[in-house]
This record gives sequence, structure tokens and C-alpha cells, in this order.
Amino acid sequence: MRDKTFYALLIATALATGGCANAYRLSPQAGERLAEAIATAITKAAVAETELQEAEGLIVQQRYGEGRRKLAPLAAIFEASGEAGKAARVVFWTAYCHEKEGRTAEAASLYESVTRRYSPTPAARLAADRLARLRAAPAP
Amino acid sequence: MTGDGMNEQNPQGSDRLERLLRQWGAEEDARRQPAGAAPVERSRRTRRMATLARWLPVAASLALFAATAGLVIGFRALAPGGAGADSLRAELDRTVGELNQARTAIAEAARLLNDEKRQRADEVASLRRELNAQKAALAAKPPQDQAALQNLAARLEERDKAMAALQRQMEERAGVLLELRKQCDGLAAETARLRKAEESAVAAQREAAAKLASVETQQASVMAMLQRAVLAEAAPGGEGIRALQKAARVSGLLRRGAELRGTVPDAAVQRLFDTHEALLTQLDLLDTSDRSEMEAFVRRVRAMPLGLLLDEALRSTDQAPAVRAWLIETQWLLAGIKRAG
Repeated sequence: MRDKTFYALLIATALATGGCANAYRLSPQAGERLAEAIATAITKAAVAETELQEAEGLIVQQRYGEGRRKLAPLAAIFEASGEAGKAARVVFWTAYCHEKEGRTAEAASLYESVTRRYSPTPAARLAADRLARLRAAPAP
Repeated sequence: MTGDGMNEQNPQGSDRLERLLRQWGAEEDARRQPAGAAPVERSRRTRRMATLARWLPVAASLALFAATAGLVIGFRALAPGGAGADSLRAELDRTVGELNQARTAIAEAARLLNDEKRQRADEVASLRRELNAQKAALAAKPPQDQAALQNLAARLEERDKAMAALQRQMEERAGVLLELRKQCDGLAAETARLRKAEESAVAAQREAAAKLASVETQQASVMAMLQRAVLAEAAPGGEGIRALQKAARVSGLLRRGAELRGTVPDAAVQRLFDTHEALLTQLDLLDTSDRSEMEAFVRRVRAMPLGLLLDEALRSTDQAPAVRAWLIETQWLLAGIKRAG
């Protein structure tokens, strides 16, 4: 993650210094704004990744409510930074927490969302498996 | 010379005797006054009585002397004058009568003197009694020094009592001390016994730890052998977390676990199932190209006391063989992740 951030910042700096700005015919001010926006998104994504790992740790400890609350804002951040795989994981784990907490309808909805939006990621595959099991299971 | 002449010749002796007798009578009256007279009156009376005692014998002697002189003068008057025998006899009788009266007076004076002496003795006895009474009163009302002495004696007595109490306390404390010493001895013995037991326990623990290490080594070698066998089938030529991820996907651990979980009656084993399931899911979702993500996952697996949880789960005898097999299979896979990190 540190490497990604470093390279992204490097690219953003290069854009800001004008080379690429001239290539895309951007004004220097617009280039700076673009670089700043990219750097902010990357920083947010790095923080969100740490949050995701912490949420996964809480889920292993079966603290599903805390994990779900920690996951809540992360999907949008990963979406914004273009990390669809991470966004799919966030939605999948959110559905998983709902399922473990007994809210199977919410869980099924989110699993379906993952399979629909993030296929063919590993999260989409696992979501499809769990969704199938949920639908096959007798209603409580 | 006649009897009257005799009276005329001896008027001074009779007057003196009469005066003395009057004085005695007056003193007698004074003496008979009620008891409890003032000390001044008593001393005055005492002086008077002393005067009377001094002068009474003198007065009596003078009376005898006067009577004798009268007789002598009478006889002398008879001899040259040649008076008649009757008159002389009468004079003699009168003189003898006077002499007898004088003797009677002397006897009376002696009696009075004795009475006086007896009264004085009584008075002395009374004074002595009074003195004794005053002494007793003085003894009953001690002076200040005596009060101080009594105070001192009382304080000494109190101090003696305090010392006695202190002595008693010391004896009691000595008893308590003895009891405490006994308890200390008992505790020391107990401590020695416990120390010996602890040493035995430590020795047993060391022995058990050595055995456990040996068993763990054997278990690790068996696990490694199993992993190699499984990986050779699921991910030929692979190693590390990526190979384990592939092996878990190929063996369908997650799918089988989800199917088995519903058959597990024990809540603790269900929780262990959930833990293993979460870790296997994270392994499946793991981006093996992201080093930091892999490191975080390995840290998470290492933090879990999976061995203990598995031991507890396997101790339960009512687990189905498939459940036991799934738990063991998952365990060795996670153990491989721990080692792979």
C-alpha cells in the first residue's frame, strides 16, 4: 500500500509540474487542482484500507456490529479511488455481518449487489455462494 | 482571865481562820459552777486552789498555835491571879472546845483539801481526756503534710495497681506472643510445604513443557508433511500463502464448513467454526500481490489462539467425524499461514 501511495503521489506531482498538463492542454492551475484531488483520493484510500483491515479483524473476533459500523463509509472511498476489488470486499463484509447478526434479507440484498456490480472479483464469487446458501436455507 | 478574855486575846487567829474558810467557801462555790467554763476561769480557779493548798496548812498551824498560846496564857493567868478552879475549868473546857473546834476545822480543811486534790485529779483526768480527744481530732484531721503523704500514698497505690495491671497485660501479651509464635511456626511449616509443592509443580511443569515442545515439534512435522501432501494435490509446486489460498479454494473448505456448521450443536464449536470461516474467507479474498495486506492477515491469524480453541473443540466427544476433520484441516492450513508469514 505504501508503494502504491508513493507512486501515485509521484504521478500527481509530475502532473502538477506541468508536463502532462501541457500534453492534455490543461492550464497550470487546473493541473494543480487535479493533482491535489488525486493525492487526496489516494490518501483517503490508504486510510480506508487500514480501516478495512481493522474491520476484518473485528469480524474474526465476531464483533460484527463494530465491524459493520467501521465498514460503512469505506465502499464510497474505494469507489472514488477506483479500487473496485476493495469496494466489493467492503460490501461483501457488510453483508456477511448482517447475515451473522440474523438480518438475512439485508445480507441477501447486499450479496446480490456485490455479484451484480463487482463481478468477476473474488468477493462477487463468494457473495454468490453465500447468497445461494441463504436462498436455499429454510426461512427462520 | 475569862473565856471572853481568851477570845479577846486571840481575835486575830480566829478571824484569819474565818477568812480562810470564807475564801475556801467562795472557791468551792466557784468550783461547783457548771462544767464547760471558760479556760480563763478554770485557770483562775486553779490558781486559787493552789493558793488555798499553800496557805491552808499554814492557817491550821496558826490556829493550833493560837489555841496553844491561849492555854499557856490562861494557865499563867491562873497561877499568879489565884482564880477559882471552876472558872479555870470552864476556861479550860472552853479552850479545849475551841481546840476541838480548831481540830475539827483542820480535819474539815484536810477533808476539803483531799476533796480538792481529788477534784484536781479529776480535773487532770478530764484535761487528759480532753487532750486525748484533741489528739484524736488532730489525728482525724491530718495536716497538710499528712494530706500530701496520703496523696502520695494514694498515687503510689495507684501506680502499684497500674504496675500490676501492666504486669497482667504483659503476661497476656506474652501469651498472645507465644500463640503468634506458634502460628508463625505453623505458617513457616506451611510455607515450606507449599514451597516444596511449588518446586514439585515447577519441575512437573518443566517436564510437561518439554513434553509439549516435543509433541509440538512432532505435530509441526506432521502438519508440514500433510501440507506438502495437500499442496502437492491442490497446488502442485506452490508454496506460501498463495499456495495455501489455492489449496483452500480447491478443497472447498468454505463450502464444506458452511454445510457442516448447521450440524454442530455445541455453541463453543459453532463460534470456532465462525472464526475459521472468517479467516478462510479473508484468505480467499486476500490480494496476494499486496504485501502489506498479506502481512496484516498473517498478524491477525497469529493473534488468534486457534490451537487452544481447537483443543477445546476436539475435547468434546459428541462432534461428528466430518466436523473434527474439517476443524483439523482448517487448523493445519491456518498453521501454515502462521509459518508462511
